[in-house]
Amino acid sequence: MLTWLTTIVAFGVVLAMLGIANERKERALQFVLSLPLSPGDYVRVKLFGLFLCYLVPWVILSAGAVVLLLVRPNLPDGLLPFAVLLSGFMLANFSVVLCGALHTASEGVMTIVIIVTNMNVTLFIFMVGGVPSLHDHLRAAAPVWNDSFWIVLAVEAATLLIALSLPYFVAARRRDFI
Amino acid sequence: MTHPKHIEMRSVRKAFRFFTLEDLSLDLEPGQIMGFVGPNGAGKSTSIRLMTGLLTPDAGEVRVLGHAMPDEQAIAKRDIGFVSDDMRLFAHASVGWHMQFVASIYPGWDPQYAKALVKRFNLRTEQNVSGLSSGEHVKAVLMLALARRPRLLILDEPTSGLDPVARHEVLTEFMDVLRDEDRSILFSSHNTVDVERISDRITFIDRGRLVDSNDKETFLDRWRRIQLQLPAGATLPDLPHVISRVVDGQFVTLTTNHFSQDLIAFLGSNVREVHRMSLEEIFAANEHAHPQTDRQRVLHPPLAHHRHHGCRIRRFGHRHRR
Amino acid sequence: MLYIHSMYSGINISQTDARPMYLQIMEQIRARIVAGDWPAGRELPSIRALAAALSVSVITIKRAYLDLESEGVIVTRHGKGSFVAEVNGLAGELQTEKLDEHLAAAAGIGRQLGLTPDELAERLRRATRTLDKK
Repeated sequence: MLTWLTTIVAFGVVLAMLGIANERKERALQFVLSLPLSPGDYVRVKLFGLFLCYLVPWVILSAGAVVLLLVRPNLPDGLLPFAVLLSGFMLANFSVVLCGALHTASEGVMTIVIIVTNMNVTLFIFMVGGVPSLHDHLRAAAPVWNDSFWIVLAVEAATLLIALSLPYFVAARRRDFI
Repeated sequence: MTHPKHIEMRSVRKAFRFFTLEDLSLDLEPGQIMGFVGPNGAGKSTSIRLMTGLLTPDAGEVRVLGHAMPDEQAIAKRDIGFVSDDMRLFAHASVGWHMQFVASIYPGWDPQYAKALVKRFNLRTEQNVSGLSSGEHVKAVLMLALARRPRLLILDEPTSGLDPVARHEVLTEFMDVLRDEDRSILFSSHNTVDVERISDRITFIDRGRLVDSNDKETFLDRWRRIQLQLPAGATLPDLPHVISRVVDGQFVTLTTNHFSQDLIAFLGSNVREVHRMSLEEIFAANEHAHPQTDRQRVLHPPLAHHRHHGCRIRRFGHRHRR
Repeated sequence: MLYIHSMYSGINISQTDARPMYLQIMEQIRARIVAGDWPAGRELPSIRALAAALSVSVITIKRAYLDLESEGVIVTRHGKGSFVAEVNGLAGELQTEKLDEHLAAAAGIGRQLGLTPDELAERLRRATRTLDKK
């Protein structure tokens, strides 16, 4: 479980960092911006490109987790809603990191964003895992899709949407680069 | 048939916390090279970034190749080669990779010319960018820009860090670009010797303002250093267009930025020598006349005229700005 | 040993020379015309080609060609290019120019010595007489 989490977090961080902060840091950004595109194009391409890059391992790992749950007899299917929420959380988390990377050139801010989102994972597990309406059904043999589940999923989806659209409206509209 | 100007800046203003670029106007016609000079911090890089769409002006207009910047920069940049000395390529890729990358984006890429440039600039296509020295890096970026044969080249300190041979090669390539009267170059450089040699126009900015923008020959023609020997006891009256006066006993050296035969006629037989000034000397003279700090550069007790002249000329300079 | 044979490989523009670049170019073109290397009617390199060959700004070459044309040394036919002028009393002109240069230098030294123009002229007459004696 831990390895799975670490992998998926690491992917996200590495992608975001390498993709953006490095460019700015290494001043290859000037070279990229000398190409026939607008800074807005650049932000949008980075946003969707990196998001898609993350999506691939995310889909694989999430699907893998779901399959594992369904296939392994010693793992109760009641864990399924939780697994889905956790996967959703990872995706939303990544988009927050991505959003942060696109808006700030400061390494300090990025470091804070990464630390906070990483800590969030543990927080999420304990908080959501502690919610009685979810917690009680974890060991059930069949998955329970109750309201708590949908609420958490909705929050995750909202976070995802905001994090992905913010760069569209803020970073891409920035008038001064460098 | 009218040929649109390649660069047009009209009363551009850009304010930062500690620096403001004020009322900058300049023009670059096709078939010209413009040398963009000024002391450090004068606003050259800011101006260049305004031209390439990386900054948006607070006031005024920027048009490059007829396109409004920064809004139409994606189209404009198809035909602009921008090279800056602090620009970096992707560290983990090779020179050759970059050539393929650029070739796939720009239809104007000339593979033969690229190969010739690689050879001339002493580069190796297989070499990783991270292994390049700073001089080689600049040459690589220049090669990538030149091989596309863009109509306009905007270069920020393109020869910085280059050894004399490399500099000569690069300048030769620039002049080669100018064989085509539909292509033009704007380059900023601290190397006043090179600027003086190959520029058709010189634009001089200082502390965020335009000092002068003119044909090179006109520009250089206007500056002179005049050495006088005054008869004992005589003093020189206030003279217009004289921006500095250095007194050493009977010997006086005047620097003027608006030379005319009238001035020589007025000074009469006191004149010993009249020298043209190199761009470097003009640079230094301008700095002395309007010092950043309050230094006084006379060999004898200062004349009150010194700074007085400076003030007057400043205003005059404003009137003459295009 | 490096051997280069080409039309303008010998033209050298020095930036450390006190004279402006366009004057140096004019001088070197005139020298070739007088020597006969560039005969009457021969087409001059295009302004841009010469500029690129010498790594000197187009505007400087333009100025040189313009001034050479006003001197009658070359002729520019609109749209066709510039050519060495047919009739050239250049040799004499060049000599006169040289004389003027020497006289200007003499005048400068004369001033430093504090000679009046008459005294200077007297010395020149003396020099001419010395020549005649030889």
